[in-house]
Amino acid sequence: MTESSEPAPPEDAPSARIDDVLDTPETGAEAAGETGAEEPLGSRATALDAPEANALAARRRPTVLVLAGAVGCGKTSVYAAIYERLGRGPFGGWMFAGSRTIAGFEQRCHWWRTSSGGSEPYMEHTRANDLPWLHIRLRDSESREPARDLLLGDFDGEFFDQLADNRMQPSELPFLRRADHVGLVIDGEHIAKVTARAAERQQTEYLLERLLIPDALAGTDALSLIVTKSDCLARSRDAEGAESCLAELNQRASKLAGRPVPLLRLAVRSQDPQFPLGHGLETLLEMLGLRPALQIAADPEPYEPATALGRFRA
Amino acid sequence: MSSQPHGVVMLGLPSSGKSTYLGGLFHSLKDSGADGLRLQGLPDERDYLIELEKAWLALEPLERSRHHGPKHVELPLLLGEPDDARPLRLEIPDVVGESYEAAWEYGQWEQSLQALLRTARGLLLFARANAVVAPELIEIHPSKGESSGERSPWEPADSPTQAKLCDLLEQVGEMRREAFPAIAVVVSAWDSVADLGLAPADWLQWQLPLLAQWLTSHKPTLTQRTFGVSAQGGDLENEQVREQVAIHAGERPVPLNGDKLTAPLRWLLDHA
Repeated sequence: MTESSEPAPPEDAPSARIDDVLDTPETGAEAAGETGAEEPLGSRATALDAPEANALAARRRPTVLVLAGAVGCGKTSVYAAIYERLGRGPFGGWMFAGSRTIAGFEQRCHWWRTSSGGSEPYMEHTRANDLPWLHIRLRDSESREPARDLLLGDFDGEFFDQLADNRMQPSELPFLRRADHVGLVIDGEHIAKVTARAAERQQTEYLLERLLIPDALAGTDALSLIVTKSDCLARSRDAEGAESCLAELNQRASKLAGRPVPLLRLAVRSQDPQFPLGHGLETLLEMLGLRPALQIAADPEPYEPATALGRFRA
Repeated sequence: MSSQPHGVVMLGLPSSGKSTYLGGLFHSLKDSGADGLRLQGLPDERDYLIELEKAWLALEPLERSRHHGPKHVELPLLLGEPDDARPLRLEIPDVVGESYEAAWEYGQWEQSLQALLRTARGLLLFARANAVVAPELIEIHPSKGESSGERSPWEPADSPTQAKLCDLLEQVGEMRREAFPAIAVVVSAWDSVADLGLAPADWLQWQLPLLAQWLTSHKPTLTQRTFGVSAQGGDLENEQVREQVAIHAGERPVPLNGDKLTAPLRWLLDHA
């Protein structure tokens, strides 16, 4: 919002300030000047940048979720589906309580809707220079507890490819360590296809190993495995092989983490009526609700109000 | 009389019925004792209100407000029963819907509107019952044969009604540091959906679920209620309805489960 100043924190606001840890690095392509289209001046920003996300984190202590996975694995669809599903009413015991990035959700959901003019649902690829942080506030539908804020990191899958390939270090992706939950995304469509399964499995294992090196995450209990497009598994010509692959990946993750790693199955935008919009999100929200935040080891610095919310780029 | 006017801001997208409501409200307030609310006298700056009232009485469609920024409207009211009424100055500016559309699309607010919103003691949030843009998913309403399947980029202006209204409330919340005034949701053109037999709050949950959740989730700190009003009194495009409404042009019928024009304002004044 233009012409407005940053609201002062409420008296009971937490005193933590989380400097820079939600920041986004440049990809190789970006550093080389091969950036995608910039939002034109004066247009509405559709997500939060790192300072805005940090300011919100300092005020509201949100639960931070980052989905990590390759380009096209369905990370953005998961976030969009949370909003799109709430747009039809409360679900999974949660109701919509607000968002600083409604425009961002709308933009992402656009390609699923008739207003896009398309005949099939589609999701645009998140680019490295897109603003990464989406925000949504949820409250239990009985209004028994105060509302909870979620910060959702919608990053270009290229970052995670580079991390898996050792072209990027976890320390260059500080949001991973700040995240309360990191969901390693496994593309269920690839696992379902015999011809794509081995490559998906290998890439998942590489990324898993990189995420579990010391200090990459706040703790191993931040990690979960998220299988997207899980409706494809049921249709697989080798469903047994697909299930076996997932079980082995889960076992491997648990062994490396030294604790059981949860595996969630989602099919958030399936055309199969057996998998309605947002299928599986209840379990994701339940997981976020059960453990909303990890303790950050470093002592928080005194709160210093940011000078401007900068909600919009205008 | 109190020197500080009681500010109520009408918030709604273009063509959501704000000006029609204001024209009808002005006329209704001249009736003594409508909902325990009446005009104490005609306001000094009455020309704009009289213009709206004239068009309302003549059953003419109100053209989109042409003024820029909030049009100042202040009404000297008496609140309560005649023998126990207290005076109150109601400031209820007519804000063009385009101002709100710009706030949604660009995040840009006129300074004068921001000032009003920061100090308002009540909000009248307008949603027009027969002009809801819903988030329709592709498989629910597949593109017809004439569609080539070519995708058009996202235009903020084409977004669903509930998204725009929730975002405007979020932005008002930022301005006011989350201290919201009482909100009366006015579902306008209630006559167009009255046959469904729903209460206005139930209609809101059904047609604008995101907004309904937003309002519910802010309880108990937010006081809110949903009203169904029909400032026009019916579909004036329909000649039969038009003739019926014209017989009692100054007193429009209240549709099934609907509310009188003065009801949202009276409720806001009681809860501000």
